[in-house]
Amino acid sequence: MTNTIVQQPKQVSLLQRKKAVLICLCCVFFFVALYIAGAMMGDTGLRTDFLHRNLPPSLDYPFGTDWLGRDLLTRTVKGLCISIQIGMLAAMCSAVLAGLLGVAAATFGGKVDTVITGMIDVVMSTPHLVMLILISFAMGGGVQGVVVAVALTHWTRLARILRAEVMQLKNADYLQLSTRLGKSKLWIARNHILPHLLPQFVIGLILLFPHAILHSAGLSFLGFGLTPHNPSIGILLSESMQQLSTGHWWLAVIPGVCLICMVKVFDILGNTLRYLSDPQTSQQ
Amino acid sequence: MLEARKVTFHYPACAKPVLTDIHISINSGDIVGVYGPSGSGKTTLARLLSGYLIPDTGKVMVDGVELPQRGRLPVQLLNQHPELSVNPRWMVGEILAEEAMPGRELLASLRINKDWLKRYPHELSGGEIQRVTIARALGTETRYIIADEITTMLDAITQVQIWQVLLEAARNRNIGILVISHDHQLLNRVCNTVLQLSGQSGGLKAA
Repeated sequence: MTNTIVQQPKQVSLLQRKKAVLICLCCVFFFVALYIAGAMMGDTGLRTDFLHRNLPPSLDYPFGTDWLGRDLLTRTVKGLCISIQIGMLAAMCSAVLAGLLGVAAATFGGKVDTVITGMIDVVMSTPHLVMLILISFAMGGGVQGVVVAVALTHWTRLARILRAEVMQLKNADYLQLSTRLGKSKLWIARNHILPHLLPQFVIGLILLFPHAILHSAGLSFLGFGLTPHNPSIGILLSESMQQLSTGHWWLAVIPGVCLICMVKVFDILGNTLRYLSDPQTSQQ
Repeated sequence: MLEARKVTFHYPACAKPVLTDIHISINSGDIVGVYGPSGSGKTTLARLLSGYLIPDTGKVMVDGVELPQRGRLPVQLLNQHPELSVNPRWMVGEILAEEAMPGRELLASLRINKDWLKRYPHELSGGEIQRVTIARALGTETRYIIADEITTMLDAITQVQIWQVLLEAARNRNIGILVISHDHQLLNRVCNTVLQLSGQSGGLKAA
């Protein structure tokens, strides 16, 4: 009798863990599939074809066609691929920046900490979109403009998390005890601190993707990002605005929904990984 | 001999010292108890003797040498809150083996179960973690143990087990132990000498 009571939660936790791993795999599979699909698709769908203009979604054209007769499915998939690439690049730059500054602030303390926390406060208190537009515009737009703009505006939250984590670890009893067991600083950094920081960093990075993707789409939508010949999602949405009044709803709705779905999948992936990486939750 | 010579200490937030001109010495194999009301500086004394805090004036000496700030300390501190002194992301096996895996006999005498080794600290109870930290602290280079209220929150049976192991270590390995506790009866039972730390004058007296 007591046995069953003790064992029950363990089984549930195993099941939940398996489910979480499965969710992660599904998310990764989704991105790989999307990427391969984007790479495999030829350029035929991108060519103008005036015989098939403004067609609503049908079997031949599942996502419909635009006012130049281009296939919206091809454009959407290719657009999502571009978004993933730009999002990844921007999120990685941003996360590396966050990692360096966050850890430096906590490790050196004093003036370094004051300057870095000041920078964090300034960036956080400036309206996001204004900063994004200004930086992207100053960089001359294009891919580099978007990447730099997103990287420079998104590092703050992760930097704060990592700073707090290092500060907390610095005073942790088990770190002090480790020094008294004769362990070197490097050993402690590698064995005690890194295992705490790495999951935070990776999850922070993954949770940065959705922001990076949405903001790069937003910048392109506003005309400060990618140029119109790149079929990015932002461009698709921005072009579709001119067609909305003529009733061609699919041009805006379908790419928009696809973008939201992709962002949501990234979000799920990040949150599931967080659940898995913490022994406290992953064992419960 | 582990000794504090004329040790005075104050925390940065408060100008008034917690401990003033404290003298205490613990011989190898000796078990000294310190008793005192809350806030009298018992934990501060423990942290000073184990090198976690550095005295304002005075010295902490181990066998005639000043307590080193680096390297393996011969003095190990055991905490009232053992769960704070283990890394929550390490399994018990890794925690125990941080210095070197304790011998089988020690693990058996502390009743550390083999299947705990694959568990995380949050999957053990407070008493179980306390036994793990004791096994870790009793490494071969340890010569003094500072036990700061280590059995306060434990049940009677676990208390007995833990003190048996520590007393045995004092006897067989000649380890000196400073026992800090609120519990008179415990101190009278396990210690050779019991001292009282009084908050106001900050001095240590034979109780």
